[in-house]
Amino acid sequence: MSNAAPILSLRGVTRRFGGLVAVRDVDLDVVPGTIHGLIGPNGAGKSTAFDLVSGVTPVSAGTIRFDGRDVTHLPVHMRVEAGICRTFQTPRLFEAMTVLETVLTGRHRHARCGFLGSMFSLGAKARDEAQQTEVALRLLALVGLDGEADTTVSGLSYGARRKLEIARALATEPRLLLLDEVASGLNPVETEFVAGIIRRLAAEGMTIVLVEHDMRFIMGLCERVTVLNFGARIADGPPVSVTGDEAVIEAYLGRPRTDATPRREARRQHG
Amino acid sequence: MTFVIQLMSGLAVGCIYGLVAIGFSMIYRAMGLVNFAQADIMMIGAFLGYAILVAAPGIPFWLAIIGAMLGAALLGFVIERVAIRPSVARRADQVYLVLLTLGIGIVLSNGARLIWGADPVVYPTGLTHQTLTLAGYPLPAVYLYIAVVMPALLVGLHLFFTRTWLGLALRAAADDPDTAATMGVRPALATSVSFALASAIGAAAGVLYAPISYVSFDMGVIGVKAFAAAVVGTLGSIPGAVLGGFIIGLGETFGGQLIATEYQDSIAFAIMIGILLLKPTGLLSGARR
Repeated sequence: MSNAAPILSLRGVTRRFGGLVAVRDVDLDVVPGTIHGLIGPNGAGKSTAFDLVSGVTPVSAGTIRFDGRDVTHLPVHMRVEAGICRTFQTPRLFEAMTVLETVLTGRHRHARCGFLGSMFSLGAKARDEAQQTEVALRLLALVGLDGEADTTVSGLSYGARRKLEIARALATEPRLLLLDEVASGLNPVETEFVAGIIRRLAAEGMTIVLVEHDMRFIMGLCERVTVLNFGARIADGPPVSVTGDEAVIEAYLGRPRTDATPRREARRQHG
Repeated sequence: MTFVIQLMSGLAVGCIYGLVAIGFSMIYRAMGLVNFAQADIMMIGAFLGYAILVAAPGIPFWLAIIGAMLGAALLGFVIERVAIRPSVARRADQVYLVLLTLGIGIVLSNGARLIWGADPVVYPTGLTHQTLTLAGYPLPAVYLYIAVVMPALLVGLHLFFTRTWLGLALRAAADDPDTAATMGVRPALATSVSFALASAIGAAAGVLYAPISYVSFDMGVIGVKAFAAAVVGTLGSIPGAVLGGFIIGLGETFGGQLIATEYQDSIAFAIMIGILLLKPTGLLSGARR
């Protein structure tokens, strides 16, 4: 583990939904400026973990620290202000807006004039608006959507929606970006394009956590990987060591047949 | 001769319904709530205009409109903070929230009765009896104000929603409050601003309606027709609210003329029922909001 103080740090984080424990006593440290993967089979609790970190779902127990500060009970919009932003497994966009407007929603808290002030001081407003629009257009260029600025969101392709969601998240100027299955539904060319964006952002110093299904995508990108299974952390480390880990192979592929242990029992050991 | 006068009067009252309907739609869009206090806020707005005209005789009518709008905006803001938000925070069911707005409406209407009395009042301004002649047709002078204020408010709303940060944040929050929060939009912001705006627009309707009618604590009953207008044009749609207002306003005016004016209210609802039978989601449900 690197010596740098973690930018994101989870201790004993648990989330229960009724009788179901979606995330169980998870510890996680993310080193600043790295690309960190969060993987696991279906239903392992990866997306729930994202919901807990971004504040969309409250924790049942445990603490979440961001940049040394306890954010466990901070509401979503204040975590954005602190520098945490996320995308969703299925892009959640504002359908009636244009592509440019969508990215500008992420800029609104950076707008220099206050909300009401922006309505009155027209000169400053125009200057500020031009500045924010410029930033938004730059982000659209980064994700390759600069030609679509005036397109209505409802008319976008699936791949474009993914890219737009990334641009919108970047508009909030996060220090920690949480990308939930950002490559799913993309063709190989688009996947490689998105991987390029992620590398570039990390090179510029942003910390990125990826929740991903696609092992190859994660292994090619991440410096560190945490594996969840049935809500609990079963492995953590560099990709090479994690892929060799027996518990991980078992979680993904099941226990080898020759072992003759019934699946149900194997599960109980981990549950 | 009567046709043009009827047409003008139908359009004028349609504007009033449309403005109140915009209030219904804005709050519905922001939080999925039908705010039945909307019409009583319009009534309070009409009384605020009256209070301003009494307190400062000779004050220009448009200042009374603006004063009433500001007062009502404050009232709407306070209502949302004091009554609606705590109930939403405690996860009250929609049914109780709607009942709550009905209760707020009753409190407002009885409050107005306590302050201004049970007898209807007439605006102490020349505008009340003044007529202007348009192409040979005598029309109430206040129609001129309606013809100016209504488009001005619509343009203002459009600019607000498309050209300001607050408007953009409000659209995001109305579309999906949880996702808007992940963009840093405080969820409560959308509801309080929507209440303030809807109340201000309702107050404008009240002040404009007062010279053609009268001001009384129970004038909120026209809210039922404004609600019909909002539903006809699809609840949640601002253009739909305007369209619905005109349909109900013109329909009840011409229908009343054809049948009998005392059936005006029934005609308004017959139109609503008829349209909902044909298009249950309202006329503009397919259109972009």
